[in-house]
Amino acid sequence: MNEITVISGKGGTGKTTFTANLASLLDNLVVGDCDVDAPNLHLLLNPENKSEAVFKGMKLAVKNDDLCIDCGLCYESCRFNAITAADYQIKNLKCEGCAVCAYVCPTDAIKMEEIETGTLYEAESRFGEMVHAKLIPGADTSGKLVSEVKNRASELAKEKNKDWILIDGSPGIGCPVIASLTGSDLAVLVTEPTMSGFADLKRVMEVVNHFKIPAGIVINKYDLNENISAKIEAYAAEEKIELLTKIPYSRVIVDSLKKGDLFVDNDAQLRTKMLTVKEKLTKILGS
Amino acid sequence: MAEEISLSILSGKGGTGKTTLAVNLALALENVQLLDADVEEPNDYLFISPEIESKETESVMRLIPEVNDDKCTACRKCVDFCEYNALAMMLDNVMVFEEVCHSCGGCKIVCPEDAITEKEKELGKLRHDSLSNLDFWQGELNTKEEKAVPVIEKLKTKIDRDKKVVIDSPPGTTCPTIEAITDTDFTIVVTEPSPFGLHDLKMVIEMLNDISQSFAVVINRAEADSDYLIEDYCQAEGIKIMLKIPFSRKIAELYSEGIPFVNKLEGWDEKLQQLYQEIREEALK
Amino acid sequence: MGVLKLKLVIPAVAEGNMETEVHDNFGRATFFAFIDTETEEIDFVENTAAKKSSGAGVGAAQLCADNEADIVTAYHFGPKAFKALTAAGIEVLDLNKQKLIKEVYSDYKAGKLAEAEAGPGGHH
Repeated sequence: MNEITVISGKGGTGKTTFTANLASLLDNLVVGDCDVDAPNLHLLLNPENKSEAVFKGMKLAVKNDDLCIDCGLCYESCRFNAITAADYQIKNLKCEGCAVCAYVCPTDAIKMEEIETGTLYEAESRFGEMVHAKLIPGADTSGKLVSEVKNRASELAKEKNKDWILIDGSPGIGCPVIASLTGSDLAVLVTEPTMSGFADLKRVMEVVNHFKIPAGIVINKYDLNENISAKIEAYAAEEKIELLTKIPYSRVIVDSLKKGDLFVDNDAQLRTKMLTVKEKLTKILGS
Repeated sequence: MAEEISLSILSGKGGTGKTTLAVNLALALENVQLLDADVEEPNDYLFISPEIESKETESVMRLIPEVNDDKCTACRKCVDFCEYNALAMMLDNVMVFEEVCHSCGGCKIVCPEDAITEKEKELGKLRHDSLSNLDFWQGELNTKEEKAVPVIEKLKTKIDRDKKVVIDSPPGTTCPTIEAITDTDFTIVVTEPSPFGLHDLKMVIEMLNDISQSFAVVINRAEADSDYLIEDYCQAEGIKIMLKIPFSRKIAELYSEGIPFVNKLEGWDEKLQQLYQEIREEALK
Repeated sequence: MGVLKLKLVIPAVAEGNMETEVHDNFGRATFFAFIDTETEEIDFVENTAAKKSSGAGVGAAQLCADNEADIVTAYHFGPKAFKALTAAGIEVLDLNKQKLIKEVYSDYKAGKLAEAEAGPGGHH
């Protein structure tokens, strides 16, 4: 069983589109969408949700007004501006769940409660089972929900004896990306030939290098700037990252996306490109 | 003097065109401030002030606990209190893990021996460049730090209400985004005409409605055959679309080089100035 | 000469036995398997640290220390977990690609597990 995580560093490089199209070419597969802040993979894979589980990611302070004596100690001790000055009400969006107000309150009027910060879904897509999740607005992205998605995807893959686990990783370079990569056998980096894209690529490679797993790179819209594209290729060669493919800035891809289609279904050349990617991935994982 | 407004620019996801709009809009206007509040990965400087690292810098500090080992009795109250696993007790020594510390001050309060004090640590930086027509401020979070909100709060103290203010917000719907757009007169949501764009737009609008923020939409990479995806939704919900930036390979190429298109393509100065006026009218209603 | 009595910890996907699979995440492992290297008995401790939204690795390290672990193994240690465990005097070892607890244990006995290094920093 092979686990591949697709990441990008910068958002908007085409990571999710790439992942969906690759998924359609892998047999006996489980897919996990670890981009829990703004999940998009389901828009292309159209899975049917079979079950959902509430995710409780943090605590919030909750006040019982009957017990409040208006001493204002909570307001004075809150570092996050999460308590109103006028009537000592808790501002949920600002509360970070630190429990200091609950501690200092002389009448125990404040309690900490775990709140629902997201939902974890298990679904069936036409390419295999899919695990995905969604954080609620205002909830901070943490590795916790990402780890839950990964764990469930791994469990399913083992239960059903799958050959592939394909993970659409979190964008960025922080903890959610690390959680997306933990336990994977290979990282695919989808990048674009722009100054900001290249900068973020280098930053995310630092994370990948720690895991000592092989990495492959996909340069999306490469012909938008062949100069920067060449620099990325040179960088990849230096860092021993395999160049999986270069995808041109393509009308077909844009149109396919707009219809919610997979571009591999609409263009034979692009399909061949992706099949080559699959071959290369298989080869890297085999050795 | 006519009243100027502050506007924040937002998108559901990175890569939609938020920076493109913020930067080009700021360059088209006079007497304007641009604040880059995308403190985890600020990019505006590439287009506005590539040498920003050599400019004026201000630290944003936060408080980290420091344990006095002489006074500490290893009672573990601080370790047990901390909601973030920022403290650990190993071999009767308290260890502090600064990156996950939320600076809540709780450990200091619960310590029965007064063994905990707080020291300042740099959380991030504010950088400033003053160009002829444009006052540019960038907020950045130091690597390994996680708390974006205090940096954005500090950045907002630089707002000059006598100027037109444009804030480039972090993408998404998490706390840093909400902090960046709160107290701005108006928010522009940038989207693109695709199922992804529509999905993320709805997500952002839900959040904006939750916090009662006035907003309108700008479509980036607009195209005749697919704008309906966004237009139909906006019409049904009574949401205004104020501008469309067309799908243009030229604009994309300029972006890849860090060149703002308003400097290179005809007519955009006027369009963007008009956009500001329209936003201002809506905001002042 | 007898075998040293040490407590060896392996992150586990469930409360089970030697046939149980290793969890690929240290901080967010569901359970920790504690093996007594002298008696070869195995016990499972629930990872309550995984409940917090951040610093799971630190919490997990605290749990291991509180349960008197001598050696902790995992596929990957974040820098905080690594720092915490070494501060407690706990030996930190890298798992090879073995997937079952019994495979890890057998690798350990054969001296095949290398010293771990701290990983790259995440935010939590």
